[in-house]
Amino acid sequence: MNDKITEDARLTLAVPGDILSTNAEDLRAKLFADLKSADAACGLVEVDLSRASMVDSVGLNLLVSIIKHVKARSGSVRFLVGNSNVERTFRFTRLDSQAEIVRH
Amino acid sequence: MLNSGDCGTVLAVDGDFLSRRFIDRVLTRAGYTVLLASTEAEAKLLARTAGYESLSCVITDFSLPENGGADFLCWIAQEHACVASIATSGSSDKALVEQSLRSGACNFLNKPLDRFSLEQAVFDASKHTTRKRRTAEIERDVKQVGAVQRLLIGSSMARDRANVGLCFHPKRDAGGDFFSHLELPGGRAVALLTDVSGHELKSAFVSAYFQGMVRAMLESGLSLPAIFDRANLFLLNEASANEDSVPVSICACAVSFDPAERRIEVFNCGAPGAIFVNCSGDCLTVRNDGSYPLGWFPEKQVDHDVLPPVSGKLILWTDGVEDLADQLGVTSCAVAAALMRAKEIGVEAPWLGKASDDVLVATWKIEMPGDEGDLVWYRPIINEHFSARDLDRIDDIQLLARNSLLLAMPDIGEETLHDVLLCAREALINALSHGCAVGGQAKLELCLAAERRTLTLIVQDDGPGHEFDCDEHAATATSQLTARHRGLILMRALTDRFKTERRGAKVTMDFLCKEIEK
Repeated sequence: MNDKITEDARLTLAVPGDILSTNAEDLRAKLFADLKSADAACGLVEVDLSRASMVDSVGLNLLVSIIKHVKARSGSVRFLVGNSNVERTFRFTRLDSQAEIVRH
Repeated sequence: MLNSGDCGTVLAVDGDFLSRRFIDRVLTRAGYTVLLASTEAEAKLLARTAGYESLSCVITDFSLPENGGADFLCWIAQEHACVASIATSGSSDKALVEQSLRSGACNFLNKPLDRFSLEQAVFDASKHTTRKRRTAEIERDVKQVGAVQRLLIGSSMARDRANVGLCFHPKRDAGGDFFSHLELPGGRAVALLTDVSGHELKSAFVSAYFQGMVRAMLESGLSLPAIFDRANLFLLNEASANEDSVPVSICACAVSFDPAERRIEVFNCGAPGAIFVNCSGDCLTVRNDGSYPLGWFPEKQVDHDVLPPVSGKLILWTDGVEDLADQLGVTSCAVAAALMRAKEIGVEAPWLGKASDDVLVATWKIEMPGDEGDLVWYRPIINEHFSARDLDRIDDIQLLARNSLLLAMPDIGEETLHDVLLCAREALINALSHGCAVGGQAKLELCLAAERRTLTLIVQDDGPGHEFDCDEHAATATSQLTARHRGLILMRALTDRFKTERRGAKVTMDFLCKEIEK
């Protein structure tokens, strides 16, 4: 996984593919390890989902937990989405009211 | 000494007079009729006059004047493949020998010829010709039987084309798969699907005999269980009486519809289970619960099921469909759906070449008297059962669903495919995690109603369900970022129609497929 802390206090977390019930737990461990190690340093967390073609409800719950974690520290979340179906999933579940959704 | 011609007719072609004379003397003395030619053209004329079917073999010098022996050998191998040929030459060059054999000769003789080698080679070649002719005859007979079989299967559809559909793709010219649809007095109808063991002529004969026997017994008023009884005894006592050959068995599934009684019955002896899909998209699997094929044991066991007295479509298939589904990594329903679709649009499915057995699918739209209004006919694509231990392989199940959908609906849009797969995943995870928590099964059904351009996905489990207000939780899930019930919210958002029954233990979702032309 390629995580970058950029100069303007933005943390980018790249997700390798789909986020589903079968891989969400492993992803959670890695993403939160990166989040916690950069906690004090970033105001914006970008989650790069450009390689994901499907996110199920467990995957959505993981993303929601990232939103809650970041917002609790006065930060904001941006999802970089490469697939129109993933984007629709976010909009239909009104996740776009809690985080920025950007087509990548 | 044998009378001349008793051993057959040999065509000898050689540009050298002495060689021709030698061959003539030796073979005539051995009992053959010998036709002599010095060139290829002369040989063809002689053979045409005598008739190629009369020749036992051809013996030709490799170095004929004009075109050479190799061309003549190739021509015989292509045009009259049953006639064995022998090449002769004064050169024993290995390359020449190889070339003559590649050109179609079954033997090679060095010159100068000797009497014994010549007689033996001609004797062997004549036997070879006899065997090849016999094989060709059998192949022609098999092709004829296959043609008659297809004719009989097709003719049984003629009377009721609107309600009965059939896809039949035999692997060989003749085989044991058969289907017939019989109309009986009193408005009754019976569909009979059979699969006789083996792929030889014997299987085709037994198949046709059995179908004829069933037809005659039905028309004389005998019940299907009684008919299966008699067929079982026939196979055990007569058809398989020869202990030197493998016994014959028949997998059979018969469906009887009596509109007056509003009764649909299924009788199964070892055949794959039938599927009945009603006009709401609910699939019922009429299982084969371990019944034996006919001809196995005297104690016959027939699975007997009575279907709900509603209108619906029955789908039957032989085990070749299930084998093909395993190979393609899809459901049997998807194979059946794809075959029927291919037939409708007049193409042959390219993946049929992977079938290792005959493939036969039959459908029957059953209209129950009193059902009014537009009946919706569904085509099942997925109809699978799972238990809680299948939760670990949900990714494999999703792949199965994806492959099955793409096979049955190659034109499905990316958006529809995504939404159906995601909702199927969510619903099945719920069913397996909660509905099957203390045992029981979950069922995943996906059917296409092409006339309504709708895919209907139904997931149900044996559990008690629980009360859930989707509207209330949708708002809470977003505003308070709660994790619970997000799957249900997702399904409701992605579908064109979302309905729950049995406190959520059954979920029905419709997806409008804009990509299907009206």
